Parts: sequence; structure tokens; C-alpha cells
Amino acid sequence: MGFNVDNLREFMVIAGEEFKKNKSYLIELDAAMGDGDLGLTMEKAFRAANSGLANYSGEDIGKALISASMAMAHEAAATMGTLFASGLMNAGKAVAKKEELSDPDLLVLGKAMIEGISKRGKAKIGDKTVLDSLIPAVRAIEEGLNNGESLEKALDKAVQAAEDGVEETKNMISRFGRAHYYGEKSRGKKDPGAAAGLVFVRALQGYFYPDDGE
Amino acid sequence: MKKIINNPENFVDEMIEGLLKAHPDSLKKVGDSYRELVRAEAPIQGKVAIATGGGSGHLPLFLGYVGKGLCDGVAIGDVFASPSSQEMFNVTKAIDGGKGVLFLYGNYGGDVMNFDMASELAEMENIRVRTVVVADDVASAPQGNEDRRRGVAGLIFAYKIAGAAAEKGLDLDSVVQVTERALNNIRTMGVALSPCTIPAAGNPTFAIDEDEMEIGMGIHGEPGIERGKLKSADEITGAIMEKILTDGPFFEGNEVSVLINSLGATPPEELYIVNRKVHKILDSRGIKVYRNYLGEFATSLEMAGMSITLFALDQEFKELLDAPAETPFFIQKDRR
Repeated sequence: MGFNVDNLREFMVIAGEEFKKNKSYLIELDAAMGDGDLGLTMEKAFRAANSGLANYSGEDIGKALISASMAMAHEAAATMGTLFASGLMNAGKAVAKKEELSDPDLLVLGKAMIEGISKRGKAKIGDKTVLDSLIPAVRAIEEGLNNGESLEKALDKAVQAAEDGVEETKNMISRFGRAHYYGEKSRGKKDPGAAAGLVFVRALQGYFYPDDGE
Repeated sequence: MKKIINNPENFVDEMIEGLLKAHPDSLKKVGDSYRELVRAEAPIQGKVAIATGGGSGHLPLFLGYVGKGLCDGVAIGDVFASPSSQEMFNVTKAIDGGKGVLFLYGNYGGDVMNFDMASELAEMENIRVRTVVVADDVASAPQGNEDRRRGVAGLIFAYKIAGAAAEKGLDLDSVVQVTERALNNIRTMGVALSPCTIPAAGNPTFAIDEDEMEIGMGIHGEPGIERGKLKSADEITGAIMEKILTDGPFFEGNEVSVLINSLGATPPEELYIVNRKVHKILDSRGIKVYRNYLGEFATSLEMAGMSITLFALDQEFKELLDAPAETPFFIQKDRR
């Protein structure tokens, strides 16, 4: 399935809606461990990504992603906005000069996004961060595609893997961001960043297969 | 906390607007935004440029160290919040004089991420950037975890060394090298007696009893290492100096520069009382004081408390420390 700049715009609109829908949920999770602004940050971040895309008139998906990420970084300078922006920027670099992406390209995009976030935040899986939902999701897509499954099936598994990943963060201790001051007390609570990652994966599913999911 | 402010949302912009009116010959805006300031003469061709930045609420940090012999530009965030990578990037472009740009700032998650991002943006425009993160607060993480320490008043020494080295004509890698070497010799620790109130939040950043103090508390109210009854100036100074002297390379026969910093509400009188004890302790260890700085350098709005910074010197550091510098907040003439 081809994926071009117009598709990226459509996806980003859906992602924006998905984050808007989950705003209070993210605020609630974040207030238990941080300053509670995560829902607002994510809404702002994807609104900015959409306007960043609107300002790009070319066909290069890489440049379009970089334009979206720069707008996001500027408008949503809080931690999670910067992390997502870093992810999108790295994803943009990974698909530079391409005008249409294949399914394997989408996987490249996902991996680059994780790499960008991980490099920027200096975190890895198990640190109770957004990576704990995104990494399992991308792994699920990779496995699915490698086994010859459809993208639809692979995305189903990715959403499930991200959901499990969020649940799993309850067993972890925060080492990053404001939440790390809670140390041992962070155990038992879901990581708000991981939940934001799950929202993003759901938005992917919502774009490609609007009838799947809830 | 009573404050003389207008709409809290305009706190930072109105502060900078007034500041630019006071110092029109020293600082200028990059564009329309009040959050991107550079030296009046920027960009200076052929000189390594230095960019810094961080949240507001710490004056003279960060913008107070933009000027001759120190930094070239600053990105300014909301109170206690990182500026955006775009703001940092705009400052970077405005100060680059063809010799590359050093990012020099304190070790806080948001600032690190945004400066890293800004350095990628600069890379895409072929501006060479190197980064030195200041992490001098010994109370914020134990030895072995130095990279998790926060950056506090030691930033001033880092600016002084890097700024003088850049002014002298050193190239970017040499400026980085001497600054990193200086930071190995710089240690800070502080004590907080009362909290501050972020204008837009309206509540104190932490609660502490009238008769209590917290040693090692961060400049944003991050937890310290020990909360207890308020002690005498000599006892507080002794406890802090003990930690600093064990942590850093401060040995008999050394010379050190001493910086005593008020967190905002502690008056200079009390800083001198602390300074008296610092000298006694150094004296008893056979360590000489070379330059003594005292006043407000890195504050936390109206927080009461102070920090002590020691910087172990050698000949190169002494020369760089002695070099002239001039900003609206920091003036040092050529001679000692």
C-alpha cells in the first residue's frame, strides 16, 4: 500500500483527533506522577504537526515529516512534545527524498522514530517511558510483516502489544523526567508517556483500518 | 507570596522588555520574540560563539551572562521551563561567526533534549555545534553518577572559562576541551531555607517549616539530601564544605576560586558570614583563595538560601578567569 504526503496529512489529522479524545485520560495519568500537562502537550503537539504539514507544499515525505516535527518541537516544547518531535524528525531523515512509502518503508519509519526518541531521551525499554509501548508495537509490526501477515493483522498485534506494554509499566520504576522523583512510589502506576505511545499506535490503526479497534 | 507583577502569563516577556530598555547597547533580540537574545555585536566573525539557555526565574542566569568575554546568545524559557529547540536554533544561527557554536548550559532534562534537537537542526544548516553540559551540584547525585547531577552556580565559572577561551581565539574543540577540564575542577552545593512561588502557578514550589532548612535542595525545589532544624552559619557552611571538599580535587597547596551565591532572598550580609567560614576552612587545609565572587549569580526567584562553589585553579584557568568580561549583570576589569 502506497503512502504519500497526502496520506501523511490524513494520518496526522486522525492522530490529532485521537490525542484530543484521550486528553483527560493522559492528564489524569500524568497528574499522579508529573505536573499533569501531558494531555495538553500532546494535543498541542499534533495540532502543531498538522500546521507544520500545511506549511509544506512538496512531495518529499521526509521533508514533510521534518516540517511537522519542527513545528511540534516549537509549539510543544514540554518533554513529550520534544520526544515525539525528535522521533518524527528522525523518521523524516530515514525516508528522505521518498515520495511514496511501501509497507516495509513504514517499518523503517517506525524504527527510526523509536531510535530518535530513545536517543533524545537517553532511555531504553524498561525505563518506564513512552518507549515501553512504542518498541513492542514496532516489534509486533516487524514480526507480522516478516511472517508474511497483512499490515492489518500486524497493526492489530501492534495495538495489543502497546496495550500490554502500558500495563507492564506498572511493574517498573520511573528513572526519567519529573516522575523519577517518585522513585519506588511510581511502582503500580501506569506510565503516562507509554499511554501516549499507545494513543499514537491506535491512531495508526485508525488511519489504515478505521473499522478495526474499538 | 506578594509579587509586583501584571498578568502572570506575561511575566517573562515583560521582564525582558524592561531589561532591553535598561541595556539597549548590550543586548538585542534575534527577531520579534523576547525569548531569543544575543550580544549587540553578534555575530562576531572568526570567534567561536557560545549559546546558553534555560528557564526564567534564575536571574542573572542565564541571560545575564551574555556579553563580552562570556556568552554570545541565550534562549529563554518560561519560569523554570526549557526554551524550545527552535528558539535555541534561531539564537545559534544569529551568533554563528563561522567558527562553530558551543552549547553551554545546565543539566536539566528538558534543556538537554531541546539543545540536542537544536544541534541537529544546526547540523542540517551546516553550523558546527558542540555541547558541554554543566553538572556541578554534588548534592544531586553521588560520585559515579556525575552525569545525573544538576547544573547550578558552577555555570558562571564555566561561562567565564569558555567565554575567555573563545575571546582569545581558541577553536571550538579547544574551547570545549578547556571548559570540560574546568568542570572537572568545579563543585557546588547549597542550602534552601524557604521556597519561591512561580507567578503562573501561584503556590510555593515546596513546603518547609519556619525553623527548618534543606541541604542540597535544587534551584527548582528538587529534593535535597537532608532536611533538619536550621543551624548556625558556621555549621551549615562546615557541612557543605565537607561534601564539596571530599567530592572534588581540592588539595593542600592548591588555589581555588570561591563563589558564594544567594538564591534570591538571602542578603549579602549573610553571604559574607558564610564567606568568613569558607576562608577559615580553606585556610586550615592549606588551600589559598585566588578570586572571591559573592552575590546573586544563580537564583530561584525569592527563595532564601545560598550555595557555595569551589573551582580548583591552575595557571591556564587563572589567566582565563582574570580575563575581562562585561554584561549588564557581570563586570570584571582586566586587573585583579
